[in-house]
Amino acid sequence: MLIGNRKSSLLTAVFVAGLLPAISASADMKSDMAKGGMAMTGMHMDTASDVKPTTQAYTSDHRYFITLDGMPKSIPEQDYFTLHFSVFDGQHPKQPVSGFSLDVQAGMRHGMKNGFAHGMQSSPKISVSGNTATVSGLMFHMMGTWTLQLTVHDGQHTSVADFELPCCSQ
Amino acid sequence: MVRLQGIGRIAAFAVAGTVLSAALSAAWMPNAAAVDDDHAHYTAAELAMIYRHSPLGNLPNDGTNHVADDPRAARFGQHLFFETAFSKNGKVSCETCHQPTLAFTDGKAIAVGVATGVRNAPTILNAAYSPWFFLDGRTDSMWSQALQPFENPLEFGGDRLQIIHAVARDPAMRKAYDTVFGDWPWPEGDPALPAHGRPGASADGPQARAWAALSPDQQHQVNLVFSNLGKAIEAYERELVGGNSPFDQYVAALRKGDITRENVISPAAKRGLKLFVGQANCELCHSGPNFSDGQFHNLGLPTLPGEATDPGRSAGIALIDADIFNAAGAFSDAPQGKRAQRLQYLPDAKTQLGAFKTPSLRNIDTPPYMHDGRYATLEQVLDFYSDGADGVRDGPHVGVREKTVDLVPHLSAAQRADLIAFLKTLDDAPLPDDLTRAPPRP
Repeated sequence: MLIGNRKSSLLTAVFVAGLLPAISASADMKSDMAKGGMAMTGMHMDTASDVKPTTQAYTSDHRYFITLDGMPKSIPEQDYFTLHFSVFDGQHPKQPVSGFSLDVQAGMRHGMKNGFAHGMQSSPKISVSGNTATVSGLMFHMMGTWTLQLTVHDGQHTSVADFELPCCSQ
Repeated sequence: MVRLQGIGRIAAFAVAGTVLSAALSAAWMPNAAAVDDDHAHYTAAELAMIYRHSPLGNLPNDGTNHVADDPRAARFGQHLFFETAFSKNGKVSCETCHQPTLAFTDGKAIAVGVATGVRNAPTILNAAYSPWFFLDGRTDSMWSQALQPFENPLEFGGDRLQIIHAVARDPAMRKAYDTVFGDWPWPEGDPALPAHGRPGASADGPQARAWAALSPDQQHQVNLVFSNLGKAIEAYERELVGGNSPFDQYVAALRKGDITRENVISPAAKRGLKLFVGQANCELCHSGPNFSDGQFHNLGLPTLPGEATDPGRSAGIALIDADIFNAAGAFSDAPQGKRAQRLQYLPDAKTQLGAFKTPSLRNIDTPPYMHDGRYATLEQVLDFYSDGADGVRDGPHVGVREKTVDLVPHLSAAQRADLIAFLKTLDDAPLPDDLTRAPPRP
């Protein structure tokens, strides 16, 4: 489960390696959002103000607890930014862990239950030191709610946590 | 609208739109008071979105080009823009595909230089607001963009040595070069170099052999002058900006609460605007003052019969990485700058197969549309977005079709007409005449 108002159902085991290519094989969005449901009386995509950022989350298997440190005051639209994360033991959330590697995928769901409607237009750089990870080169090119999927690899397990972030104030 | 006939067309459309929408306007304007204040017709969120689209704002800085905002460079670049001596047949210039009377497009489905190209020619109006250039994003500055058509065998069909010699032999261009960039590298004037030569051509061809025979210093000098010519062209193209369209005037009136100016666009256009920033979700990709996110999307357009598959940005990423004229390269004036920093974050090319840059919607009355010019009218474009799921969207295509396209709902005929009425308010006022033709001297 996620801390805050996130639902554990969002964290299903769909987060496999090579996520973005995998999306191509995922069910078409039409199965998630019937075209008729998007008629003119239907949805308009959310805007930045609709979502509060996830600042901490457990991985779906509860193996790790991850915090987003120093959330930017405002995420810039169509510009690069950096985030810092700290990783802790899921059973002992104050106990830092190390010796892991991290992958980050980002995209927007736009109402899709599984996968992303589209990904990010950048390949972020990730550096890990101790229990902290610095992710630079993130870039959100569209307003609305973005999902960052952090995958922790410890050599034996692959654990995934979602962070939702709003774009953008400017 | 930069087309000479544009004002008349807009006026005609506005009248038609008014008539068309007369029956609907009563529903759109719920009471007489609302007629006096358009703020009442938009939600707070819609208004916020509308304000994000105007004014156009200051040009982004291009630190990679130290003469980007130098008027002398702009005049030299303007001359180069209209110069035909750089092409293989002496008939092609930048203007060939970017004609001022056609809002700096060519009106063709596929651009034609010395031969027929492979993509539609986009407008260069307001192009300076774009973060990447070409429909596949294969350059990261306007000056490096300007260089590639010279050596494209389908566009100018020329080469950089031919161009250097053409400048060297023209006293006016030589003088302009020296004024803008300082000393010409070759004391003898026209350098004692082969008449033709360029890298990257067919490896065993005469141009490649001539280029390979040059010393590294000679190659560097040629590349330096060649890049400077591109920088002068960028300086000119940075002057090709609008921002005073009827839509911009409308937003300014909204901001000021100037109800006397709120009729600058028609009721149909206002309904279209409301759709655009609201339920039609056009806003998602056509965002910001230039109505483009500047990024790349795979819309799932099938390859046209008889045409080769176009990889789009997936190929552009490899090209920009290899380009010696990119923002991090030896000819950039800010190789450590912000533009150069972006190159380290280029996305995985595999995720970009079949993706093309979101075009600006400003000056959109420039058919045909899409990267391959497949649609002759805006009506056809909206047919694609509105009903594509039942037709063209399900056809075979390269790469992964982005699901964002599905967020455009079905639009009625009246709604499409409203959207088009709005889109045509994005045509800029004509540029000053002296920017739309070759200057009297470089």
